[in-house]
Amino acid sequence: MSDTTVVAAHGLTKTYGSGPGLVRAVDGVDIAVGSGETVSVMGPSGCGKSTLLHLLSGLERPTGGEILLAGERVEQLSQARWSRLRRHTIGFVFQAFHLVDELTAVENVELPALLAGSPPKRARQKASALLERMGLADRAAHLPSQLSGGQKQRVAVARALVNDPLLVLADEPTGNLDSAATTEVLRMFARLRAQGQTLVMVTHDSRVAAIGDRLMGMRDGAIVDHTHLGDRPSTVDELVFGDLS
Amino acid sequence: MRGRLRLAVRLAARDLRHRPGTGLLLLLAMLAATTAMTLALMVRGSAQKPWDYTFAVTNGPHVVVTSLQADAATDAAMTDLMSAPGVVAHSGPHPLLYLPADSLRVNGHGSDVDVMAREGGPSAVDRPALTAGGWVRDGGVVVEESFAVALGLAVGDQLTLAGQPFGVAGIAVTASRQPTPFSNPGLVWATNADVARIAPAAESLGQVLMLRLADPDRAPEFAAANTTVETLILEDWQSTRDEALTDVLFALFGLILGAAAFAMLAAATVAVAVAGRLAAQGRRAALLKAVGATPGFVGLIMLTEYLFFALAAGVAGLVAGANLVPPLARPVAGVLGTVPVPGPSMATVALVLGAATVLMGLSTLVPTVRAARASTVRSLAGPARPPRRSRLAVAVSARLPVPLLLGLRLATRRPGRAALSAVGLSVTVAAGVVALWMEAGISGDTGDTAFIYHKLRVVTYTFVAALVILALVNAVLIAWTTALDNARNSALARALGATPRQVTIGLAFASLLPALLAVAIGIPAGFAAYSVAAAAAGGAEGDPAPAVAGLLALPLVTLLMVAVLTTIPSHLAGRRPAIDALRAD
Repeated sequence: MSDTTVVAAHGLTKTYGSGPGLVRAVDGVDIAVGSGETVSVMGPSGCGKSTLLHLLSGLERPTGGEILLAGERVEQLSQARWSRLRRHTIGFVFQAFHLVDELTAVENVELPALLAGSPPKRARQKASALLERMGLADRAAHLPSQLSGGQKQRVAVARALVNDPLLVLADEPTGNLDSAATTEVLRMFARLRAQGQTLVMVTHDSRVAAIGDRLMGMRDGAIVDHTHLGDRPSTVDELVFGDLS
Repeated sequence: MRGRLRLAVRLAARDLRHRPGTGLLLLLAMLAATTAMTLALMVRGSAQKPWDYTFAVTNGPHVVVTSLQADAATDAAMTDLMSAPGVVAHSGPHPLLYLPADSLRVNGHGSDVDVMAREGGPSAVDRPALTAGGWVRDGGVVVEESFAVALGLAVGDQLTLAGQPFGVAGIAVTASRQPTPFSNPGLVWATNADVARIAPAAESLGQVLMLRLADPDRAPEFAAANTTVETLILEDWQSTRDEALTDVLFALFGLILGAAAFAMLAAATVAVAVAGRLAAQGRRAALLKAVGATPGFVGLIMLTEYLFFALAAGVAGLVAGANLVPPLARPVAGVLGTVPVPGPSMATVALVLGAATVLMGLSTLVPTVRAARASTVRSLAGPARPPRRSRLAVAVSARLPVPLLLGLRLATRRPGRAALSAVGLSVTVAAGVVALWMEAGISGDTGDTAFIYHKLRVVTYTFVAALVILALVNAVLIAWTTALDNARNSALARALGATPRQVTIGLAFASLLPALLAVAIGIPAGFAAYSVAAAAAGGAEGDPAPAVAGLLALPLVTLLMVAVLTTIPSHLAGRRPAIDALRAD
């Protein structure tokens, strides 16, 4: 782990409802992710791991606690400030891909760059280069409906990377994929980790979690385990096909 | 079967209660169309009814023969007419005094007047019907009702005729000449003795002969064939009626144009509202099928709901239209206007209800069948219709600032909806141009006949106001549907770095693009519509062009109002937390 902390949260809380119906989706979570580090958050469905990512990316406002992004307090920023922050600092990968149906793969990838004000030509070059990196150069002009699940998720990852974010947050990146597509995506995340991209992934798939430098276990909104993953399989193939369950 | 029908009605009623907002908008749009249709169908017939009633009650003349002077040749020609072929009854000749200008004075004000000598019992033809007071007596005159209204006279008031004082003994209506102000001078009836008393002051003394014909329809031919002496004027009852109804006929012209524009806009609004409701109902249809409803039963529920809208709007439109008819149809005065305008005929009822059902059926049948037959799993998973991809819009928008990038892409995702929006607004802009041109044409006319445009103005501006309201409802509806339809994309744009303000402006811009198109189409369409309508009404040559300031203001005001109103649903959509929309997907 690097000495530079990219994102940190202290006593982070998110509750819904009130009185007897109060639900503590995230309950006093402390987390710190260093530059170039890959942190996996694992837990059963409904334990609050997706909500944690939403809080860290400003897609939801916390009920309590603080968030520091690149050393700056951000939890009280307005929605507009969070939007501007997301353009350059955070890339988000959704479980359901969330690609724009009527845009081709390359148009989907260049979209955040255009929203950030990049000249169209530069945005297109960057998007094409990323798709090539993801092994999707020949699918650049395809619509999402013409792509497999794994290809869609790789397009979504390329989109998350197009503005060179400090941090990539991935919410169940293999949750909607079959096993072949899961392998594709796992290989890609392993490469990202190797390239020094700071990553936080939430998953309930142990193979995905095993990619991380650290594994945090979550239950009922709280972090219950914290493990530094030392001896890990050296290749993705071992991750995918090895006995990790 | 009855049980299934009852269940379908119950489920349809539940859905109506579940989505009252869009239901109300749909009902309003349909109501606008059916009201306009009822008005257009009823006004023409109803306009004639008070006059026809007056004609019947007074046993009105089919031909009125007026002599401008009394001489032997004129008298002889008049006598011949009493026994001319086709004449079945006559009244008169009655002496008629043509008094100099301003001979009738009330409270210091002078008016032009003709005085007709009429006394004794009811005559065979033209029996003026008293609406107040009694019939003529020495020193007491009866004033024609529209003339009395114009002068503010009531029974018992005093006036002077050629300097002689008279009391108002009564007020009466007649169908033998047009009412004031179509007819100037006005008409007063007096006894033979009183006429003789003021006769020396008259410019000339003529006579009036009232004729009833065996074949009233041939009155114009009779009048033309018997105009043998220059000093005799023969006027048929059809001309008298048409002139008495000039203002109503002018208003009818505006009414028919307005009703057509209104029906078009309402149809566009209905299509948008139905599309919005059906998009929301797709998932419900799938849920019903998932629990065992057949596609036919799902279709029955949806059609029941829309049939309710059609019939409710049809009935409400008939009631509203029938209530709006009397003030529009009533001539200025001088007829027995108290005659109640009868309700819509069976044919009108059938036409309005039929048209409402057909309009609703055309808007709903195909999407209803599609929703009923769509794959249950796919409908439960997401929206039924994939968005349209426009390669050009994607390429062009990449070069635009972020709000315009989002707006252009949103507008081109659903080209059909954008086209409906453009059509709806262009109808309104075109109606605005017609109103401006009409205003330019009639505002310069300040002469004695300027009053005949009053009803036309009222009708036109009422329609323009109603069109504006409906077009804005339409614009809000489309903006709302667009915002709903694009909830996921808008949320995604925000997750990827667009600010709420950029998304809001983008959504509003998506509504403004069709509005720009509407302005571009609506202005030339308005010119074309006015030219066609004016040509049909007798030619627009010489009509002054509408004011440039008005023509410039029209598109600016349209765009401004659309921008302001569509910002509301766009702003509300922009404020919704992005993750909610993404989670719901």
